Amino acid sequence: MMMDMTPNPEGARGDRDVTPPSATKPLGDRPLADREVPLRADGAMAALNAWLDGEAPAPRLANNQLTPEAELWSRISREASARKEVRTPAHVAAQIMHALPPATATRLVAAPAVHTSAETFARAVPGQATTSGITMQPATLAVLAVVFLTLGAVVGRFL
Amino acid sequence: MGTLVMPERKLWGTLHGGYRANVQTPPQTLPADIAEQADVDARSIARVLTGDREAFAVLVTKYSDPLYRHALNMTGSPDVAEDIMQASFIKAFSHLGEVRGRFDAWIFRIVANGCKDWLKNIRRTHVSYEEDDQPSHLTTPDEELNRSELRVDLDWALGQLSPSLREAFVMKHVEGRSYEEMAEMLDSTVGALKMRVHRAREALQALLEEKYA
Repeated sequence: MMMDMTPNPEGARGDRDVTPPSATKPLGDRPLADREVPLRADGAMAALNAWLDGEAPAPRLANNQLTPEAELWSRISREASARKEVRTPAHVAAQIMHALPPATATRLVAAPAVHTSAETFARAVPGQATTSGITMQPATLAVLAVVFLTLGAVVGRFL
Repeated sequence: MGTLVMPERKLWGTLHGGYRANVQTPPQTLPADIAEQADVDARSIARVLTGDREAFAVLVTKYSDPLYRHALNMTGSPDVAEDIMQASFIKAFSHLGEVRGRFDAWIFRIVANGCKDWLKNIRRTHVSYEEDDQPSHLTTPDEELNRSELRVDLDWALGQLSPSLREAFVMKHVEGRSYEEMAEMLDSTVGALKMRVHRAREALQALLEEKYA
């Protein structure tokens, strides 16, 4: 069965036909989006919500039958309950495992690798998730250390 | 090696648990079974971080059903739900060392965000909610026909809701979570989520009552 489940943030005002697939007549233009659905002030909806939240008994008519709205929600609840039985298709787990990258990136974070021929000095760039880095060879580091030590000695002698 | 720290705000539902009735007061400590599951997950994560990929398969198998149900009901498409599941678990695998708290809540948020991103980005597509994905406990052909019709209309009506309303409705009515658990999962408040669920119900009723009520 094919159906259109495209969300319609514009509600019924958009260009799309929002008639339910199995409806025999249009359900009419109704406010649909989040902000367009003011909570009803009537007690019927409040009673329904209280019942569905487990805070009150089911709303009933004088003859003790469920109200039409409560009957509708009983049916919706049965349909929703049936969906709890849905299982993941068998191939999905294998598909996921097959698609995994060779190693977790965070393993390096959790257990940092020993630096070998190069040292990386990463400097976080404010406002960005990524970092930029400067890679230096150990020999360059040694030369820089000697230069700074010499500079320090010279400055110290003149002070 | 990354260490797992239990969250300060305790999550007291479980992804693979059944329906939890409305609980009025949250427990002060993590229930023993959930704490035990968290420990088991933490051990699995530690094994994955030391290079044991099969340990990740354990987590995938353990949590795939509730996550798939959420993705399926949010998107209405088995194919999209599978894609979101795969992308979410790959993301989880790549950032596993960053888990600080319960793995099930963490992976749920990844999947939930994936669903909402998909819903926000999609413009128009045709998706299917295959019959095979829906088990049937009904016996008579009439009941089956009626249910099938409601199923289609409910899918359509859910598709008209905004992502946040649909998420709230699915978590409450399809996954059977308590408001407190939803609040923990979505980092929101019970009052806000109650309002969202109520709005979702009103919108659904407005869409369906003319035909069914």
